[in-house]
Amino acid sequence: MTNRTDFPPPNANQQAFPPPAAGNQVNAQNIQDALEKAVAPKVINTSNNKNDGLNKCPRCGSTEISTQPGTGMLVCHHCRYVFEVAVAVFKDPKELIGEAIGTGAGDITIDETQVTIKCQGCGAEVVVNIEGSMTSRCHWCRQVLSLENQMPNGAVPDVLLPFLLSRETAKQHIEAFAKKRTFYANSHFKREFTTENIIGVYLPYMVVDANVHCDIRGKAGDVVRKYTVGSGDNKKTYYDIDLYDIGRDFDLAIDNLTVEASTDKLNVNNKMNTNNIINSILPFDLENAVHYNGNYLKGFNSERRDTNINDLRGLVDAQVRDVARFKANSTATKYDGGIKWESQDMDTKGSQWLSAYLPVWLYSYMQVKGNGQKLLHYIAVNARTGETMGSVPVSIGRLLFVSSLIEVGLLFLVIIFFLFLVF
Amino acid sequence: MEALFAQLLDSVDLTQVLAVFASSDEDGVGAVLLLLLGGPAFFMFTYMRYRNTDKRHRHEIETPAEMNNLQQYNNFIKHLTRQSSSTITGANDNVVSGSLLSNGGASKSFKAINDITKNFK
Repeated sequence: MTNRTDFPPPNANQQAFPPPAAGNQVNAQNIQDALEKAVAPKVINTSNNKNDGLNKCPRCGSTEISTQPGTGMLVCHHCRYVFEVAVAVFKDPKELIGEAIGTGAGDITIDETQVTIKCQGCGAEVVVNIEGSMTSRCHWCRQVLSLENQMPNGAVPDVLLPFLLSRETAKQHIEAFAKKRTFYANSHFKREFTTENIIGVYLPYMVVDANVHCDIRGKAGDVVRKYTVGSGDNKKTYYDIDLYDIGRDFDLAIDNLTVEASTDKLNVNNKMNTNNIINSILPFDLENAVHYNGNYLKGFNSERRDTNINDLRGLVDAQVRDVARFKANSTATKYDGGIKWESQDMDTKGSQWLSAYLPVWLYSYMQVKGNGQKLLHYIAVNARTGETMGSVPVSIGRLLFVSSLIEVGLLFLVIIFFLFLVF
Repeated sequence: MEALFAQLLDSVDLTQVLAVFASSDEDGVGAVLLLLLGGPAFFMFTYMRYRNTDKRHRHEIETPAEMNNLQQYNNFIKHLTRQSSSTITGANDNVVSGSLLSNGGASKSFKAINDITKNFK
């Protein structure tokens, strides 16, 4: 963080903020260029010019390729060659001007769930149901065919993060999480809990980089004195506070802001679902994301993106503002009496949108309540960082009983305490 | 029954309730009242530990962001005396608007966030 302190206050005679430094000056032409770029977003081609069909081992040409457990690399099951796809490198957020969109993040214009792939091995046409799988085996020559072409149905993203945590490790994480929450767990859950049916799933996300300018102003309090006045029942604590007018003006380069790109997972409602659990295992190490390669999906489920960039702009805007405000907070830590931010002007100089598949190990349990209402509980493991979070159904009766016992015990202690005071 | 408790837990912020009781007096009565809340506090703590309804991605601090070209001003306005709260009125530095869960854990709709924010270009 660089810090300039020649920032003048916004009084009547002075300009609120000084002109930008020489290197940052903008002129009318630059603004016009930026506007034009904003109107017509740049397209980042992440398709790798690959076609659907055979995705071969670079050493022997076999299509028997999948993710190697525990390493996140690809392994050929024919010649045992282990290899990885190059990490996807994109522009530094600081250098973004205008809007850029990955070819895999374009608007969804068709709703096809079945794709026909022509096998380059034997010429047969194979139908792949992309709702559950992005690969299929040719029924004639047994070669594996994968969907690589970024068609506008949200099925093929720009980048993905391979599964790093093996199934066994994920099982251990989930078991450890549930084991710590056994005593008050719903009895049906305890009976039926098993990690044998956990699934590895690539969930769809939109990853946004942004180059923004923020001008934020408000009032801040510095507590300079705390004192007590009166005695006995009239004793009261007061504070003396120095009130300041504060402002912060800065550039902010935001890297890999991640939001869910599935309507289902964006619907966070604690009474109806436990989608907040899946949200809570963010963030991922997106600096290690690789260009999409269908071989990574073998053995895992994947969920198709069903939202467009325009659907997510409001959410991303709110999150970018939050990040900027908390950055401003970090420059005003001396104000222990709080800050009341009164204005926040944001100017987005550039942004980049990429769609991504991110790996999650999921345990799910459907709880059917007494009134017939259903609630789907998740225990989710971030398959990159191992961060684990979950929702375990509670036996309300048992918890209420123990809480009541505690309350009665405490009441008894209070009565004894008062009796001791009286006598 | 669980739905009823879940609704209650969504609407009550335990830390605020405890703070009110703890600060209600300084000669022991507040502490006794706090003790009497032990049962409900245990219930809420355990319920949240199992259900984690308040957990979310903390995008406001967990998203990598680099600040540059910072300019700032800090102008003294006035000295406030005998304030009953240690925080200035309207302090909002910890408010998060772009989360699908509000600060207390209650749900916000995705549409509600999109409706109140500008379009990000």
